[in-house]
Amino acid sequence: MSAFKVCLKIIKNNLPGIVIYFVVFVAVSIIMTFVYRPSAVGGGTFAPERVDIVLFTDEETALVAGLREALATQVNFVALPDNAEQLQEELFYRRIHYILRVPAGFTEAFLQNTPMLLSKTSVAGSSSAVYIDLRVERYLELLRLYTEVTAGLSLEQQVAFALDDLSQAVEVRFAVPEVAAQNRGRLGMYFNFLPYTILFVITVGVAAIFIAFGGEKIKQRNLCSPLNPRTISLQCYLACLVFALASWGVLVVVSLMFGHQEIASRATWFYILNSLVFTLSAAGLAYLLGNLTQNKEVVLAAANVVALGTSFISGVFVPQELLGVAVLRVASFTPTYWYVRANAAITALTTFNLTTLSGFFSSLAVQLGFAAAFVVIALAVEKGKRAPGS
Amino acid sequence: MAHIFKYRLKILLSDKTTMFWTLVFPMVLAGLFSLAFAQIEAGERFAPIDTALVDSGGDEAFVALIESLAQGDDRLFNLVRATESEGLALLAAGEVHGVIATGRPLTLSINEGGFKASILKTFVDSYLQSSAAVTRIASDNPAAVGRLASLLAEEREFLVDHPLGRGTHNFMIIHYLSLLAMTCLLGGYVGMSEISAIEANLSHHAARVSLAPVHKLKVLAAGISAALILQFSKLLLYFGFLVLLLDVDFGSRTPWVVVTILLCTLLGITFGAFVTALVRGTTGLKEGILLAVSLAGASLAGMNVAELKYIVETHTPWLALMNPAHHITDAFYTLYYFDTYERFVTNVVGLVVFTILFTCGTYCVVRRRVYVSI
Amino acid sequence: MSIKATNIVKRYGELLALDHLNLEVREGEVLGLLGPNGSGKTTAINCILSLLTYEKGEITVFGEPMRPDAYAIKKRIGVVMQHVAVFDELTVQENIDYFCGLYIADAKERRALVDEAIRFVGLADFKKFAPKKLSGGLLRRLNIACGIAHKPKLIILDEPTVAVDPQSRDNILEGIMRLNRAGSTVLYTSHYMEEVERICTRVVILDKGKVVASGTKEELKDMISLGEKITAEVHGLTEAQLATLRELPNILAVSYAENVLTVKALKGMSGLETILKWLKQHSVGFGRIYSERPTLNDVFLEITGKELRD
Repeated sequence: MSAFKVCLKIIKNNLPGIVIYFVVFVAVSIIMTFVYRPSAVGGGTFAPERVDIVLFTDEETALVAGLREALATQVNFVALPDNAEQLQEELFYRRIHYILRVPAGFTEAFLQNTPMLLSKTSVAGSSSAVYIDLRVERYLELLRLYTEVTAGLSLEQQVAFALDDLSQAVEVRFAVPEVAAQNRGRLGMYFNFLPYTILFVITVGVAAIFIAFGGEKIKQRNLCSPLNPRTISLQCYLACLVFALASWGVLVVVSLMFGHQEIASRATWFYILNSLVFTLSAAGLAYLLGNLTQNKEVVLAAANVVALGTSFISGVFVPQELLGVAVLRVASFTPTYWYVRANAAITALTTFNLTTLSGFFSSLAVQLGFAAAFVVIALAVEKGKRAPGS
Repeated sequence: MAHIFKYRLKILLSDKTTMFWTLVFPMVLAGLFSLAFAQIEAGERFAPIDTALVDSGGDEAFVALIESLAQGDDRLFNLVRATESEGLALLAAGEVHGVIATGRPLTLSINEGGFKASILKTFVDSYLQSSAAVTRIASDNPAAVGRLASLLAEEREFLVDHPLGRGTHNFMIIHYLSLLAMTCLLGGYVGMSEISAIEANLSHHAARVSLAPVHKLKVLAAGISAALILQFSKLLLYFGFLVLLLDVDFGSRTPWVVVTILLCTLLGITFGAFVTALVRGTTGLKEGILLAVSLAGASLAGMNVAELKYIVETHTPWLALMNPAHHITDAFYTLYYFDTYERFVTNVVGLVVFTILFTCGTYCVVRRRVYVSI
Repeated sequence: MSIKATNIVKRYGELLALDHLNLEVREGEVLGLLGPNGSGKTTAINCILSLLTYEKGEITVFGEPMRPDAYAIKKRIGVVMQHVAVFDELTVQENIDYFCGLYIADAKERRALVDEAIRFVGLADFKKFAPKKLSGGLLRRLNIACGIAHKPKLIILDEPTVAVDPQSRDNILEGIMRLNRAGSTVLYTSHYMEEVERICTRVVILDKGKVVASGTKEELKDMISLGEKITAEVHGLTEAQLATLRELPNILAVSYAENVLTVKALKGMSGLETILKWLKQHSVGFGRIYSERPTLNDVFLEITGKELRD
């Protein structure tokens, strides 16, 4: 097992660099876990946070007063001068999320049913901005019902009715206690970011082996040895696997330290199982990449693309439900997609039995298939390179 | 100096593999971003939401409404009728995103506050609000109910979007810009090889150069100039790819964007030189630091999750200040977003300060011309 | 005086690499710096060239104090380092041109010098080759060309023939002698005594960072008591016979193993004649017999008790 031992030694020599990636990626993952909310249009935050907005009104009517009240539950009104450059800056730095303008004559136009619009400026991609839009529109839609049909009432009365209707909300019940649900989200999200770290760290670590073994003289020496080249390759793969599993172990320990309140939850163990299976396919992919090139810069660039690129299109950073069908189809050719799918399946479950877990297990199976395929292709590539004259 | 410049350029150019792939890979990455974002920006209809309906009677209007929205190709819901226990079981199994039960009050059971659950809540809330209004109006004025139906069906706009500045809407640009920042910073590898070429304790030909009657810094300057030309050309190609092929909008001030790219290229190279000169250790360690800082810096500047940029700015401004990727991203973004140049100039000053810092730091180390050991 | 190093002390942490080293290289000579691995040869060279710091001592080159920015001095020095220091990305010609260009600014002059250097080392047929395609010996020749193309007055070569084939080695040594004849002073370090014996006019022997002996080859050999070494193929010698041999006057040492008799004799006498007489006296038959003058290795062995090559 001399090749195996040498491979491990090479990795050990490269450990300082690898540890740096580890620490950095894990730190960034943890930061992202704490701050992340799916931020695309529509948003995922159930109770959107209160944001600061600016309201400019060129008139003061009951309608406008009602508008203020309608928004008061969701926003903080901030007083700012109407200076375009300053407002631009406040929006740029997200100190305000929304600017709403009521032009003069709006109430009149509203009551007369002539077209006049409120103008809004919002921070692009803010989920809170979307809720504000909805709130404004709902208020005005409800008010319109009254102004169109109950002409006898005063505007103040109509506004009061509209606000009362607006306060109607469905009773929401959480199938799992809310606190637990929130907690569960944390670890699930951490594991969701994991592919990025695992793929990158393993690819770079494994690359070190191939760069060392790829030297012309080393290759020739190996070919002269009485050991079957296939055996050397497999020993290298075994070393890759050991390294990959060790990395996975460290990442899991970190996750349990940081998410210790969720250790009791069954979901946690399924997350861990999913990540283990993914690690196997990551090891295979890294092994394949290492066989394809031994140029250090190319390997790093490839690691970047593979880790970051597949993470993006597979739903690591942008949820799968927000990605288009075409993208997901492309992503389904990567193990990352199936990992994220499995992860999401666990996050959505409250009971765990064979029926509910069937989707999860099939995603695992696909990942294992990838793992095997990568190794087979890698061995084929390696054999091809070995051919005389190559 | 021209002599050294010519040969350093030749040496850098001769590594065609690295040249090609370190350009191709950022392009592939940007392409994948583009693929992921295209659908979001187009505002494509999302998949129907799997919902269970527990109908215990008394809310025919609601049931009729939700059923109508569960028909057709562009339906909002995939509706399943179930009993309460069945519905909750489906919810537990993750087969539906919510269970709506009719009755007083209307309830919505969900697993957790996800995106689809929000849509369900908004839908049911809207229904409850409208029906409260209809109930109130109908009780006072039964004749108006017919009118109400047509009013409710009418879709009317109340808001118009009034963007301030140039590109308030292109939120995805942050991802591209931070990716560009990372690509600039990875030019640090070239800076690294320039330092290795003159520091006698880092390479053999550097030792030879140290023995020549030529000032080490002159050699370094010639080398960095060659590296700058090469990296800048690569980044221009990359920029062209982003703008022409992927249709990424950098705003209309292209000349300033190009100048900024040049500045950022120099920043990246001097950053690499700085890390190489300063850090004591193996080449692997230096490369690790270079890559980790570039990647982490870009992540914190919004490459993965755009909002992270703002969170860092608000909660840990010192981190944003220390992060060269953040300054690079901001430089391009202010150029893109603001009408005036004030903010842009501030960012450029930041970039220049970083470059000077890295250059001075490198100089202080490199001017040491003898070594304790080689 | 081309180089004068006085009282140099250099430490690597706890290790004393140069122990009050005194070294002089006279103009026009080929000085050999001889010593086993780890004796401080390369360290001494690097200190002289101002590549390394040293704790104590003074170094002058061409009469001027040597400093890292003494460009006027550096212009006249050529160095061939122990490690091959060429760019893999440039061809043979380009490598020589690059390094020569650090000394000679004029392109026309440089072109002529580069061509001459290529001819000098015998790489004319390999001008356009990349270093990767050259054998070890040719690579060393390239390494030399890069160091001497600018026709320096002082050439320092640090073990330039390591791992080189005999033909290339001959070529290199011949070349160095030609350079010396053309007016260059040469400082040549090696642990191969045969090379030093062949080309050096004066030899300095280093051990543990100190000069243990210096002088011309003859002076060095005169320093030791060994005058001659006689080796003979002899069968069936007895201990008694060996004892009588040992008692002969001017015999330093006698050893007999595997039918080979080795006798070390003092200077001054004709050891061979004495041994032949003794063999005839005792009617001992012998096969091959030959006599050798002492080598620098013998000098080193006697002074330090160690072999030059371990």
